[in-house]
Amino acid sequence: MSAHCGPVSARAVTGRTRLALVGSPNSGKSTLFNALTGLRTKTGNYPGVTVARYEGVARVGEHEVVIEDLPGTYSLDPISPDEQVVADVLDPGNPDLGTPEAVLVTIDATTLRRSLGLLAQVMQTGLPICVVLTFRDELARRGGSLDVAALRRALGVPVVGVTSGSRNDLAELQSMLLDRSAWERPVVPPPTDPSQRRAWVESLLHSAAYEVPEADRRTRRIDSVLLHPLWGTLIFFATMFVFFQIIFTVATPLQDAVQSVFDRLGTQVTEHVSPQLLSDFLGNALIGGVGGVLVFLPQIALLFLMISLLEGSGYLSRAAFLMDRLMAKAGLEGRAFVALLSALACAIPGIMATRSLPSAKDRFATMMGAPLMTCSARLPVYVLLTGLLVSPDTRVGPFGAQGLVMFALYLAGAFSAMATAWVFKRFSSRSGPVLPFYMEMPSYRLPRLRSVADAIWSACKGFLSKVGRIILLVTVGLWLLLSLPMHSDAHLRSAGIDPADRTAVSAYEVDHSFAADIGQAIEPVFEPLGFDWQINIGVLGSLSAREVFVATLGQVAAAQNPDQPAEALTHMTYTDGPHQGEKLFTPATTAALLVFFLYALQCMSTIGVMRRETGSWRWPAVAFGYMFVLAWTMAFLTHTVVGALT
Amino acid sequence: MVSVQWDARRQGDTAAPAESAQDARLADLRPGMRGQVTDIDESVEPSTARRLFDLGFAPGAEVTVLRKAPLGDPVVFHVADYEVALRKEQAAGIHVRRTA
Amino acid sequence: MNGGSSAPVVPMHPEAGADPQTVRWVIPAGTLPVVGRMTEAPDELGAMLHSGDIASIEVETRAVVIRLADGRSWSALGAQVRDALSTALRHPEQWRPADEVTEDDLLRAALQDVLAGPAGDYIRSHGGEVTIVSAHDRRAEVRMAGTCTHCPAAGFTLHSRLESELRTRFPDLVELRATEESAKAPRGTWLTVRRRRTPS
Repeated sequence: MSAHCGPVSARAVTGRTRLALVGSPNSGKSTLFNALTGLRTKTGNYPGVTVARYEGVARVGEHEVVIEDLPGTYSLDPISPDEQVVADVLDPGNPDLGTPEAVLVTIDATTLRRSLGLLAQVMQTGLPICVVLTFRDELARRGGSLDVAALRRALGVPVVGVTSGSRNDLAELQSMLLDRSAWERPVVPPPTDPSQRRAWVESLLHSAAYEVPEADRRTRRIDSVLLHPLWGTLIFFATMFVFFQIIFTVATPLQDAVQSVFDRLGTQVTEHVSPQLLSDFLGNALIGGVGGVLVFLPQIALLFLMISLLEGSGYLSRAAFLMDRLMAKAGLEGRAFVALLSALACAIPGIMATRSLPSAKDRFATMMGAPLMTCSARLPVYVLLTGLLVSPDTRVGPFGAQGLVMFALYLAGAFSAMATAWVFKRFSSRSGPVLPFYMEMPSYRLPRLRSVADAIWSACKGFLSKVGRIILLVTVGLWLLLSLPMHSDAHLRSAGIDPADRTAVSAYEVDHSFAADIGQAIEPVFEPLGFDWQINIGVLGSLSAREVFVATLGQVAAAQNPDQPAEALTHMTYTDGPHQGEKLFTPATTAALLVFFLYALQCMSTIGVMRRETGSWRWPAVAFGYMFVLAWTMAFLTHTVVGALT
Repeated sequence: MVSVQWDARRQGDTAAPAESAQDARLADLRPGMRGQVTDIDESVEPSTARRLFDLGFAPGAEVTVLRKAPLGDPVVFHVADYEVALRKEQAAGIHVRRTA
Repeated sequence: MNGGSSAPVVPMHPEAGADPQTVRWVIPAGTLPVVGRMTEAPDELGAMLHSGDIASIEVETRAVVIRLADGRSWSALGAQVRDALSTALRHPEQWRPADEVTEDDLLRAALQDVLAGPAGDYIRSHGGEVTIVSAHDRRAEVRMAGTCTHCPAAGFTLHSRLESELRTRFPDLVELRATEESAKAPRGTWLTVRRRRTPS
């Protein structure tokens, strides 16, 4: 029994050969991993840390080799949890993680001078090593040269050149994987002393007749525009605008299409299946739940399409470079910008986008802040409540008051997200040294179609298999709470409800459901915010997705059209307590509710994806906890202040 | 290329006592300037110093300042045949001798 | 251990030798002013030679070939030999060859090294044969035979291969001369190579 029950167990699969893949970021490591393992991969987490573990199976002939894609690193002297994982896996003395039988080290031929330092460290572990030399085509394009045979002789380990996309190169590497007894071992391992190691690298480069032109002219030319203080900034904002538009606007019709297919399917089922409870369960809970999972896929696919294009081309580093100063104010680095921007569409892609951050600390600080960005699911709630709060005719100067409130909510969300990230970064940085910031600016490269497709596929697959289950369970659970217990027609009639009046029945069902019991039970908690048990039902229902709040509240209020419940809500009153009979949606309560939705983690999908990305329930629990406290406090303050003003 | 670096280092060693106006921090160099790393400042945390070494900022290494971000920070450097961005905070911990 | 203030560390790396006891430590040409078998080496390296850990030290133009005594292994002594060699390379004047070594010997050794290496392989693979005629006063002469003589690329071959390879091993080279061995009257081809900046 393992104390850590990640999806991939801490102990490695036994019985098959295990190899580890080590290399610097941008060294073509993941491309090689995908090329070797195809789609036979699974992701998990290393025990106790926010570091994703990628394992795949490479089939060579009749043999299977398990390959573990270790996080990219520039050194085996770890300064971050990700690098600690690499050092631990390669440390034969570490009993917690299975030591691989051999190591593949990817080395970018254009950065040999730097990369050989990492190789020296890996060679010192004493594990059998095969060097995979990448980007030789790029070295040739830039007019550089390298004698691979001489490098192999000088290193004393096998060196295989791999041009991405070349099947011959891959076949050569695959046959090497099987015949590991033939791998030569270095006669004497490289020195550990820094100046001796530097001398060792110089000697190797000289023997291998290594020449690389000082500047990649093409990259310098592109950079002179893309990193230009004016043009570069303009292009950056244009790129980010397009990026956001695509995951926001382009994804919407696709998501609507998915939604409508499942809605129709659900309706079909409810109409043709009896009894009532079963048809409701199938149509609303199950099919609705599956639809609620699949509806995220267009957004996730588009996000990873964009991110892998940005990353593969080398622009992501440039964008991060341009934004770094701004993000540094939140204690983050430039690369976190893309994640926070994505979170404006939805926290799910936002949290998944944190994968491009190299440091685990930055990753979870961003993850904690991302759900505060105003996502598209908050929009219907904001529209409804803002409509209750201020009339469309109110103007402040030339601006409509509703627009201003919306703008303030977006701004407050973004500011709170940055502030939260800052707090978490500070809090986490107390343990361990402060990470220095450094970011390689890789040469511009054409993103490989295969890599892009692999990235999209594995993101969607991971989401469906890990997060989908959680969303589905929560959806079904909430449906049960809102629909049970059942009421017979006789019961309804005795309560004065006409069983033929669907609106009245549905309102009665909700008002007497288990959810209503819970809403009443938690009333004391929300009473200071002005929420009564009816609002609590809506808040509870919104756990499956924020926008569900609108429909649930509409159902509670017995609105004729639950999707447009504003009219019905204005007439709602407190049903009991000291305020009985008074208007429920006073400005103070409405404002408090808005603020509550701004801060509360009212989204099980977000919690699910956090669980998947961090590998434990700890961070989702922390996020849910801190956001609830924050939401309650801010809503209380708002309720008090607005109540005093009106 | 390799021999150029060896020669440069040998010259550097003989010129070592005369370090005065040429001694600078990497963060002080403007785009287009070149320098040779002489040392990592003692105030830099050992783990950071080690990482800077692993990234190529080793004593003797030639560094060229390529460009600054629009807000002045971070800065892109050319070192060890590749390009890497550092924040000023890190670049200030690297002692260099200006060569161009 | 080798702090920044002391002399720079000489670039070197080990390559597997002909047998498991032998390792070729590749060093820059011109590091040592000696070639051949060594009877004396500085400091720790000399101590290991005398203690019997090291069976022999042979200096080539671009390598120090060290053979461990039987019963000693590189896995056990490798790091120690490396450190000892690294230190010893900083004191080139303290290396003592078995035979007196002149600059001519160094040039000849460098030329032999070139002809035994890839450049020589290239010529032999084209049916050619190159022999050393003389090596003195920083000038060397080789005789080319076989298909070389008919090959229009002979001059180019010399230029592009032998000369550049020899110069990396013997930077003070003034010129490399080649004579063709043919049935007709010997015709000398002087390939005077542009002198580069020579380190003093």
